[in-house]
Amino acid sequence: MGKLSITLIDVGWGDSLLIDIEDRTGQSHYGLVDCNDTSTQRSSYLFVKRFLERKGVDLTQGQRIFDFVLLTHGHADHANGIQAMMSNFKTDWFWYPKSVDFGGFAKLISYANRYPQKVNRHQAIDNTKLLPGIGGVELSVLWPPYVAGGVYDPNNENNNSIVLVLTLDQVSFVLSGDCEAGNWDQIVTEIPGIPGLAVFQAPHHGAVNGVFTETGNTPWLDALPDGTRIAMSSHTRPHDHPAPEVILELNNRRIEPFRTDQHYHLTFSTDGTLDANGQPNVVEHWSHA
Amino acid sequence: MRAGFDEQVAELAQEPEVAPYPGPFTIPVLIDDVKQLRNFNMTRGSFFTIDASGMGDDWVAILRDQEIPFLVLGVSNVLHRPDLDNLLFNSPESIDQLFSQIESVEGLVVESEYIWLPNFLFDPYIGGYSSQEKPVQLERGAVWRIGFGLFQMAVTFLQEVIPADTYEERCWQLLRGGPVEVGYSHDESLAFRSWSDAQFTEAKAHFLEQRDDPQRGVLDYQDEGGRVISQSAIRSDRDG
Repeated sequence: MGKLSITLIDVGWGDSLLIDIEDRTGQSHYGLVDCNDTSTQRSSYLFVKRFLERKGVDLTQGQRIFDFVLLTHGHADHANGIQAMMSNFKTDWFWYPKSVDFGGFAKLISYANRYPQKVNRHQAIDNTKLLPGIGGVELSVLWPPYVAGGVYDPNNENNNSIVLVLTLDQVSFVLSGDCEAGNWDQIVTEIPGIPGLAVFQAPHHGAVNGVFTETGNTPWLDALPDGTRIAMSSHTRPHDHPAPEVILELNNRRIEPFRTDQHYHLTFSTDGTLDANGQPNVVEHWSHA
Repeated sequence: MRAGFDEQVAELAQEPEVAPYPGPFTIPVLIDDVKQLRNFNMTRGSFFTIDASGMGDDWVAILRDQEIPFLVLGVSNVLHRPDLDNLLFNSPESIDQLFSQIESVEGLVVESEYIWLPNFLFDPYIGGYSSQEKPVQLERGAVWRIGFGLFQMAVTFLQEVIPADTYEERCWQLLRGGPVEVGYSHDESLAFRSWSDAQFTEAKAHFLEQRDDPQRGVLDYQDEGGRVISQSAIRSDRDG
């Protein structure tokens, strides 16, 4: 039986998620989604390094650690430190969306172009791309759509965010980057087809525009199956992520979100099975409340 | 427009190496995201640093004419000019050359980091200087230079040493008393855009190489009819 774990690493403002997959033979596979490290604050790097050391991975041999590193979109609070992570741990794949022109993002592409020994291969992805399965876990992209010769939204980088589904057998987790609520009217049509949706990362750290459309609708919130755990890479400084309106909306629906600003590092694990009631078997763990 | 603004700019313009920016130590900041929210009006801007993850030798710092040898270990340095002869990144080549030069040294990489800057600093009638005839829009990818004093304050804010209201108040104080702290850098905006374009062009060439390399390959995709298309098997470069 395999195992899939995702950890929302508390990196303060921004996102960083470690994917840990144990295949049926017991072999581990790792992925990283986003990073928000700086030269003086290496929360993500230190978490990953300690995690790997505890798992007995010998980091002195310089072997490739990550099967994939994925940048959801080209904003600095998701992209900072990704280069250092790829430099330190190496990756087979580096995936990213087509992005609005920006020097910080271009620097990452430049690094991937020039250091194949660190980044074996890299490619822009969208919802037409077929990602390889990793250790028995299927990866699929719900967003953004393919746009010939350009980016999906040249005016708002959040809307170019990759929305990723990870499925182990009968259980799925959805990671949503900063994909704003206005896009979810289209995306939610895919939700009924996702097996055992158990954990959903609230888009844009629980910001108003991640949850409410301009007309005040809440498409993804309305579409999630009952009991889906909602997780947020959240931080209340420099401004409210999550927004008070979002917390109020969740409270009204009797949903208690999992938040990195309250729970610190947050891990969800599944063996891909359902319980006797047909609910996904998922275990939550956090460093402290 | 605040009093003395034009005089200050005129005075700075007398110093050809510096004008129109507030002093020799200004940092180029690339606009990443402009937030205009109910209770938060700030812009996130990225800057580049040299990140030294390993130790190097033969390093010498020149401090007040004195040469001081030192070893590098885990320091971060903010890049603010391409070399000692040039104050601005006026061409994509100057960016590429500097980045390549730094990363050719084992253990050194160029990283990007960010700061938050209050939006009013960019307002042409309050703080933002531009030599352009038309008002400059705060748009993603554009380069603005900011003074070192403001930069230091922004880092303090990012590190949560001071809260947002204190930070904004200090920015206002800075505007009231000192020289221009924020200036649009037109040539650098063009240079960084051109440099970014070159990286994406290189990525497309890299994609084709990757596709043709049996050890690496690229992803298959599904067309509108749901058919799986192997990009490795076709000769078009649908995507990069």
